[in-house]
Amino acid sequence: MTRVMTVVLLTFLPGNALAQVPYDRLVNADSEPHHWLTYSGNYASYRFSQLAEINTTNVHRLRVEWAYQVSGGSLIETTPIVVDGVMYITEPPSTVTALDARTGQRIWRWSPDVPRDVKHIGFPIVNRGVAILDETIFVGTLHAHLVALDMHTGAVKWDVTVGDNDLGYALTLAPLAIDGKVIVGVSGAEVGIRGFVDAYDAETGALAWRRYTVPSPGEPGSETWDNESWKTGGGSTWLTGSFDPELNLLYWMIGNPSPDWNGDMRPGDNLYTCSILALNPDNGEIVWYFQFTPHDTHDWDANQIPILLDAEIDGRARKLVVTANRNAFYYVLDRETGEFLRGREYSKQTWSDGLDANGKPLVRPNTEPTVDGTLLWPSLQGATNWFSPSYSPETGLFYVVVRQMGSVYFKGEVEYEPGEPFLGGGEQALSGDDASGAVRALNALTGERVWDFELLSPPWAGVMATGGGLVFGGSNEGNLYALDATSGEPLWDFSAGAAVRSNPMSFGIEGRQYVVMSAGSVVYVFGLAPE
Amino acid sequence: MRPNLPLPVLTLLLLGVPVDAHPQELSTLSAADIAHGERMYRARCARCHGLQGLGGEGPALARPYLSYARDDETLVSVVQDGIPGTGMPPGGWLSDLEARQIAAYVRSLGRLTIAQVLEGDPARGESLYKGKGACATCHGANATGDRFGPDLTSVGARRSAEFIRQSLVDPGSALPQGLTGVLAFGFREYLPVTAVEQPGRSELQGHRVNETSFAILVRDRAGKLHSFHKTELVELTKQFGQSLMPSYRELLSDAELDDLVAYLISLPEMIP
Repeated sequence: MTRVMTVVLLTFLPGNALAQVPYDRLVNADSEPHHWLTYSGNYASYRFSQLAEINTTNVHRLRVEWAYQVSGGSLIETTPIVVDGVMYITEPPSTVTALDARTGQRIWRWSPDVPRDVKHIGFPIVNRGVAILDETIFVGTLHAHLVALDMHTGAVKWDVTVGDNDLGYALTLAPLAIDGKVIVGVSGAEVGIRGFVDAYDAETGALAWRRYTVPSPGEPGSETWDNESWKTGGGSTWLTGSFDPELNLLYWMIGNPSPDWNGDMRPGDNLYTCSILALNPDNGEIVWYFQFTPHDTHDWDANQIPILLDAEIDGRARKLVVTANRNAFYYVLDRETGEFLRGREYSKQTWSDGLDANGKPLVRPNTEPTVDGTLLWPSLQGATNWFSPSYSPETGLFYVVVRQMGSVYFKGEVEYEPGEPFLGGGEQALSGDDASGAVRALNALTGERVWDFELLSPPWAGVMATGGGLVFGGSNEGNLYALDATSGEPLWDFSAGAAVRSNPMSFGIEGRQYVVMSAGSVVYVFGLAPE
Repeated sequence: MRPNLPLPVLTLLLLGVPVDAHPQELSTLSAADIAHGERMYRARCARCHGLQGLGGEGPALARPYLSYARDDETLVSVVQDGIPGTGMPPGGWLSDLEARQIAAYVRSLGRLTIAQVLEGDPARGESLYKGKGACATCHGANATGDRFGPDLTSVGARRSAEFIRQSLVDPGSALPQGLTGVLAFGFREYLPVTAVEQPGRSELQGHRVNETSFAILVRDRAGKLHSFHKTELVELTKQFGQSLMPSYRELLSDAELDDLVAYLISLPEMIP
C-alpha cells in the first residue's frame, strides 16, 4: 500500500488503532531499521543503525545525494525523524519542516511566533528535533511552548505553554513520545529556574504530570538545599531521556544547580541536580535516583544520553543504564534499582581521586572556583556534552566523543534577578593546541578504553555506529567522517566547510541506505555512488 | 501557566529596588569596585596584557587611548565579548557589573603615565633589520611580510617591547595565537611541523598554515604550499616551543637587540 493510500484510509477511521505511527511502532523501532522514529533511534537510545549497505569496504564511495540549507544561516543540532519516506527536521529557532526523504524537496513547513527578544541564556538558538506519535509531530519551542502538528500538513492541533520564557524557561530538546504521552524538559539553569520534567496528553495537550527536579520544603531531598535556594535551584532537563517499556520507567538526566559557579548560597548536595531520575511515566513519581556530582560548582550537568542495555555483570543478568557523564566518569547502573555497579574515568580530569563503592566522587581539595581562578580538567563544557554517544550491540562498544580541555574556573558574586543570568562566575578555557578531542570506544560494561581516534579540537558533534561496522561523526573543523567501528581507523571523510554541531542518523528507501549529517547550516544526505 | 513570582523578586519589589537597573557608568564605580576589577584583571587578563597593562602577547592597555575601545561602553563590550578575528577572547560569563569593574580598572591603567622606555635607536635598528639581522629575507624590505614570514608593521601596537625582545631571542616561545584568523582561536600560527609521506622518503619541514582533524596545510621555507591528507602521512610531528625563525641571542649584542626592538616598535601602526 502506498503512503498516499494509507493517509486517505486513515482519515475515516476513529481512534489511533490504525494510526500511521502508533506507539507499538516506536516500541519496536528496531524491527524497521530503514526508519528513524525517535531522537536517539530507539527508546534505549542506542543511536545505532542496523543498516549495513554502507560498510567498511565501500564507504569510500559515499557521495552527497542531496543537501538542505536551513534558514538564516543558523546552527543545526536537529536529528531528523524519518518515517515512510518523509523526513521531519527542525530549523532554529523552532521551525518544523517536512522534506521528501528521497530528494529533499519541502512538503510543508511550520514556524511559531517566537518573540524577537526570546530569552536563551547560556546556549545558542538551537533545536534538536521532533517526536512523532500516531499522526502527530511534537516540537518544543525556544519560547517554551509544546506544539502538536498534523504530520501530513503541519497544521497545529494544540499548543501549550510549558514555562515562562521571561523567567528563562526554554525548550531546545526533541520531545519523547510514549504511550499516549509526550515528555519534555526545560532549559534555563543559567537563569535560576526551578527545573521540571512534564508529561502531556498526546491527544489534547493537557498536562498529565509535572515532576520538579528540585524538591520543595518537606519533600524528600529538600534537606539538601538551604533556605530559599531551592526556588532558583536550576536542575534543567534539556536533553531527551530514554524509556524502558517493559519496566515502565523513564530515565531523565538532570542539569546543574543554580547559580552555576558560586555554591555558597546553596550548601548541600542539591538534589536532584546532576542526577539521573527513574520516573514512573504514569504519574511522574521518582522510583529511584542517582546523583553523579553532588553540589556541583563547575556546570557539569548530567544532560547526556543514558543508554539502556542488558548484560551479565559479575555472573548476574542485569538491566543496565550506562552513561558517559560531563564530569569525565563513565557509570554503569542497575536500571531497575539505581544501584551503582561500576564507574571509571574515561577522559582527563583533575577534580576527583575516583569514585567510592557507591559511585560518589572523592573530590580533591581546592577544586572550587575562586576569584583568582582554579585550573581544572574537564572544562565547564565537560568531558562530553549533549551530543550523542552510540552503542553498538554488534561490537559491545560505547562510542563517546570527548573534549580534552581544561579551564580556569572563576567565582563571582551573584544575586537572583528574574530572567537575568544567574551564574556566579565563569571560565577561561584552554584553547587551540592546548586542547583536543577524540572519538573514544569504551567497553560498554566497564568503561575501559578500547581505541581512540584523535580530533584536532574539542568537538560539538555526536556519533552513530552502524551494522556496516562504521562509526559516523563530525569535527569542529568541519570534517564529516566514518571510522572502522572495531579499530577506529579512519575510512572516509568529507570537508563540509563549517563546524559540525549535530548527531548523525541513517535511514533507507527501497533498499538504499542514506546517512544524514549536518554542518554549519546545511543538512547533508549521503548515499553510495554506483560502482 | 505562569509560575509564582519567586521570593527574591517580591523582596526587591517591596524594597522598591528597580529590577532592571541601568548599567552603571565606569566613572561612577567605587574604589572597591576597581579593586575587585584589578583582582579579576590579574587572574583573567594579565597573562596577555601584563600585570601593569604594559602588554605582552596582547597589546599594552596602560594608555589613554585604546584603538578597539574608544569609549567606555565599547570597552565593556570588548571585555564581555572579546574581539572576533583577533586573539582577544570573550570574558567568559562575566556579569555586567564584573565586566564594568574590569573595564574601570583598565581605564585606571590608562591614567597612569607609564611610558615604554626604549633604550635602542630605531635608525640603527633599521640597518640591522636590512643588514646583519637579515630579517628582510623573510619579513620583506619594509617589514610587510612575504609568503614565509609574517607582516610586522603593526607589531608595535600589538606587542610590548619586552615581548618583541623575547621573540627575537627565543622565537619558539612567542608564536602568535589566533592573530590572523586563519586558524581557530588559540592555535599557534607558524608552528614548525615535519611531515613524512612514506617511510624512507625525505622529510618536509615547514610551518603550519592550517589544519583539520583530517588534513594539514604546510608552507615550506621556499614559500611553497603542501597539502596533505593525514592518512597519507606516516609521520607528522609538531615542534611546539620551536620556530623556524632563528634566535638572535648569539648573533646580536644586547644593544643591537634594543635597536632592533626600537625599530620594530616604530613601524607604522596599522590597527584601525
